Amino acid sequence: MSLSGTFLKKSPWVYHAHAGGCNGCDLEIVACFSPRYDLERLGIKMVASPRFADILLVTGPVPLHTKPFLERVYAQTPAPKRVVVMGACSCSGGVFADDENYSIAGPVEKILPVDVRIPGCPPKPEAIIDGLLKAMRMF
Amino acid sequence: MKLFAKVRAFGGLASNLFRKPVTVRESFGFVAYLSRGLPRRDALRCTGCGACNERCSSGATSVTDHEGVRTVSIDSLRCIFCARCADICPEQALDLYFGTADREDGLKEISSADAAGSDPGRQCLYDHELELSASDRYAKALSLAHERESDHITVDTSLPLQRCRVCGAEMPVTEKFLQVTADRMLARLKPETAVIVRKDLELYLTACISCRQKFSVKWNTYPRKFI
Repeated sequence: MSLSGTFLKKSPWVYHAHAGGCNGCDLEIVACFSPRYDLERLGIKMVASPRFADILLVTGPVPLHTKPFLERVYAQTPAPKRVVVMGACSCSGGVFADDENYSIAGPVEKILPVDVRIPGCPPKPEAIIDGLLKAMRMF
Repeated sequence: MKLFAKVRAFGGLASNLFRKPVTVRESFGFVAYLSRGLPRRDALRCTGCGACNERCSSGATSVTDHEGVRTVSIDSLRCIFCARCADICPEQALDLYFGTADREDGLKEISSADAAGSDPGRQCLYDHELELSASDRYAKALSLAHERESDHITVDTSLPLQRCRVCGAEMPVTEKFLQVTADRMLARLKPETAVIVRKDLELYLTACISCRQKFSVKWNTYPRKFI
């Protein structure tokens, strides 16, 4: 294990990449930081820029016009990095999964290497915390 | 400020010091009891009727007929855990459960009846009420997020399709579904009548639609008292 991995196991910084979701998942992320679930006591912190981030938390089915931005966000994140996808849309395409859909670049798996998937529409805050903890253990 | 209000404010402060914290514990043992769980199919009960596929709102279920075998599956990544399939299933073959496919220990599973404890009507329970072991909590927490390919629980059932006894073509129903359907129809008749009707009903059900039309003339001459 590298030295950076030692610290990332304790306190990863998370960047939330919104890729065309319906905001249902985003509201559940907000609920994760409420006093009841309180992610920051576990050392997980939300940051405003992918350049500070260790974990990318991606929501949404990735529309075509969002795909280049998501790729740039992934490129801007310094290594070592992990990708956590959240919600049925980003896990598998969800209701948008269709070969004839003209506006969706497919689930996140087609674009980025995905480490942890959190299914649900939207996932419960406990599921999000569980997914982030699993991503933490991977460092 | 009056003295009473001061005492009351101090009392609230003092009680805060001894109250349990609002934040829940990190071992997410209570999680499964606030959600419905993951879909599970009982392969012995499933007849391959495809009712779950009609009902699924997110397109997580699929029914595919290939080389005389019907495969019914649920993709847990597309599932939104709405339990509509479990509600509609005529055989009660589908339900939502708490558990995970663990590599070492096989399928760890905690049924919803155990989760509800003594009072099955209760939906919302916490881990200290349930007195679950740490491994049980871990098993349930595992089922929330998928980190390995093997965690993607896709529930599959394969059933043979019925072939038309006249022309040999594949029919879009399974053998098991026709058996169950015939039994269910005959269960409404008197036993002595059911014995007579069963043979003709099976002849009728095991023929494809185009072949049924050929012997429909004979069917119309069936004694009226049986119908």
